[in-house]
Amino acid sequence: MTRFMVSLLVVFAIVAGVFVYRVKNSTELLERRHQQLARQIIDDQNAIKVLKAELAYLSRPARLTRLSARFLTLSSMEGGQIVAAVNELGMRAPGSPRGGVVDEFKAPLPRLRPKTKVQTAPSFTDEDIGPYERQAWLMSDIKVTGGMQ
Amino acid sequence: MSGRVHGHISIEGEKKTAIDVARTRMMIAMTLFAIGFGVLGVRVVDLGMLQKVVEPRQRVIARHNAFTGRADVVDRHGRVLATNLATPSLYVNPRQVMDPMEAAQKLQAVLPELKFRDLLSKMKSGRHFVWIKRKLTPEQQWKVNRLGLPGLHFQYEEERFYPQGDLLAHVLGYVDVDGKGLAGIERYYDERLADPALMADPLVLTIDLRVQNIVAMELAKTMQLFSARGAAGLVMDVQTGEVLSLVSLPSFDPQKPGTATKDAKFNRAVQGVYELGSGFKAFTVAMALEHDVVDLEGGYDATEPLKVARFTINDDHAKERWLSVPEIFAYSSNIGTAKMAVDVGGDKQRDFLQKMGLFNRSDIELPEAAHPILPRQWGEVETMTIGYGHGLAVSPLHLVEGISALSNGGRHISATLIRDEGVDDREARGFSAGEQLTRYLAISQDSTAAQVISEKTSKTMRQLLRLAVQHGTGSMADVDGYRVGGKTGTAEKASAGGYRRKDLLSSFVGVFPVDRPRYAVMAVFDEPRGREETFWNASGGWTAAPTVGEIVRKIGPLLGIAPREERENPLRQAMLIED
Repeated sequence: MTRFMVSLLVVFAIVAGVFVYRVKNSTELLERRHQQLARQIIDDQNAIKVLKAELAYLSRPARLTRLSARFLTLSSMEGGQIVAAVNELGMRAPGSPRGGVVDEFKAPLPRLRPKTKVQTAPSFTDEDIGPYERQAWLMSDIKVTGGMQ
Repeated sequence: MSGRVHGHISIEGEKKTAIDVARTRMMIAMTLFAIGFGVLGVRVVDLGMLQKVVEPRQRVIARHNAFTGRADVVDRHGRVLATNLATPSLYVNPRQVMDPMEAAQKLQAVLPELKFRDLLSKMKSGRHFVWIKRKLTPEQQWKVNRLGLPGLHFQYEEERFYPQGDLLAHVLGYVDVDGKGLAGIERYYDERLADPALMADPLVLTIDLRVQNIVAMELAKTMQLFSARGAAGLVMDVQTGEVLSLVSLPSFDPQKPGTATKDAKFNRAVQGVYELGSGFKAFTVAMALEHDVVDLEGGYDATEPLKVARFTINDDHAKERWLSVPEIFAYSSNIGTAKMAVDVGGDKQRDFLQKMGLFNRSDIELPEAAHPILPRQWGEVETMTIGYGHGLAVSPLHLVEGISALSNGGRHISATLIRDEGVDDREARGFSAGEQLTRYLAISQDSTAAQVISEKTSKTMRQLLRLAVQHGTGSMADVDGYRVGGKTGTAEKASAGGYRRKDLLSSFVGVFPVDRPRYAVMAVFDEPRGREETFWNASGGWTAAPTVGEIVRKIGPLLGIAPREERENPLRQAMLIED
């Protein structure tokens, strides 16, 4: 009886020990994971902050104005282009064609794909370029030389 | 051997009792132990399964957190205007340096602004920690890392970064090396920005970055054209007091306030007080109308220059005839306004201007906001000169606040730079444009702003302001569809012992759209010089008025103001302004 009880207790102790060890181990793993995630969140927040600052820097209105003048054929919107309400539109002038030609584009519309490759923004393929150099490049303004005025 | 066996047999009975006693004692001890362990076991089960015990969390490794130094400042649309970034600073532990000579040479090649001799002495010093250079750019950090020198280390420090450069220098101000606000919003809200509890919430300003940029660019253009010394520009919502743009030129880089001149740091829009000239005529006319001294049919004789004591008051745009009140205002007659001011009287004038907020600092959230300079005495001469804007020096912001009060229905609303969510819900989705406007007007009417002139006088002032642009000195500020109303001002700058004829302060303060005023726009130029194209004129009508016109032309569509064609028929036009 005693021997049975003792062996039962020993078995119980071993089972309990293994169980406790496993729980403790998995808790430690989770704890480590938690720390890792917390660290990563902070790192990501830092990165987001830097990127937001960079975005704000790159989208400075003065820079965008310059770039749009260089690369786009758009100009600032003017009041005359806005119609506040449909009934503010004037009547059609007498004698103007109804349902006639709306657009009078003389230039032919492109039907074929352009043969030459479309130039895209420079990408980083050079292996020598490090992350800081890349960042430095991003931080430096695009120099516009010989723009169309 | 046999004795033992014998003995065993002989004393069996005694032995048995001794073992029994031992066994009993052991059982007691075991029971006690069993109870003890049983209690522990129950407690373990209780702790592990039945009770919710909050385990103390392991400390998250202290790491540089983005939201520690200072809160961000953003514009009304959430664009970043000021933020804190971690920047590396380079230091050396000389004990780890193997070859000081080589290290100094290599480092000097990468950071050419440092002196070789200083570097060498730092490398050779016996200490553990010597700063080499504070605040490196990412590119410099990368170059230093590439050297692969032992003993060089980085320490990260928070630095205030202003992505918009000099565009908002006078609004934001700047901070010192330790991140303490020294000017502008940074100083006014220093505690709020450094409050750890509010670190993740950015401070939202009323500034609209796009408007700010347009105003700054237009001012700079005109400033260069007329070789002016400086300029200031303001755009304010006349219904809520929100400042959409506050520009002072020349500007400076808030990143490097140390390199900026005192002149560049000076905020001409709120810090500078000037005798602004004819813009004040709006106050005199409003005051006369409010006190029923004259009505629109009345007028004054402006044939002869007015002689008071040893002064002579002349008209710049002399008509040399009797002028009605609208004519006095539109042609900006000093003589007429001076006579009008005297008719109202000095005491009433003083009370009126005080109500207009011209005797106090503006409530704007900038520590630089200046106190106006009042005349030492307020006699008849002062009443006359202040009537047309000389003798009382106020900041351009004071004038904008005053003109807003004249045009918005008579409520004096202080300018603010802090956006109060909910006051202006125009961006709220789910509302049609009409509903949004009604909502916005309802909210803005709700404010507790002081009524300084009557609704009726305000309406008349709107008509007069429009008249001054349509037929008067401010004609260059007119923009198709946006119905600008406003007043030019050209003042000679005061200096020791009189006024300098050549050095002008030219301004224009306008309101648009004048029939339902939304925004007040002001431009001021400090000492503009006339050009051949303007017939050597540098007055407000030639410099500031076209600038304001250009600003309105560009910001009108951006701010969602519906353009409306103005009817040529004067009767319909009157109805339009009557609303």
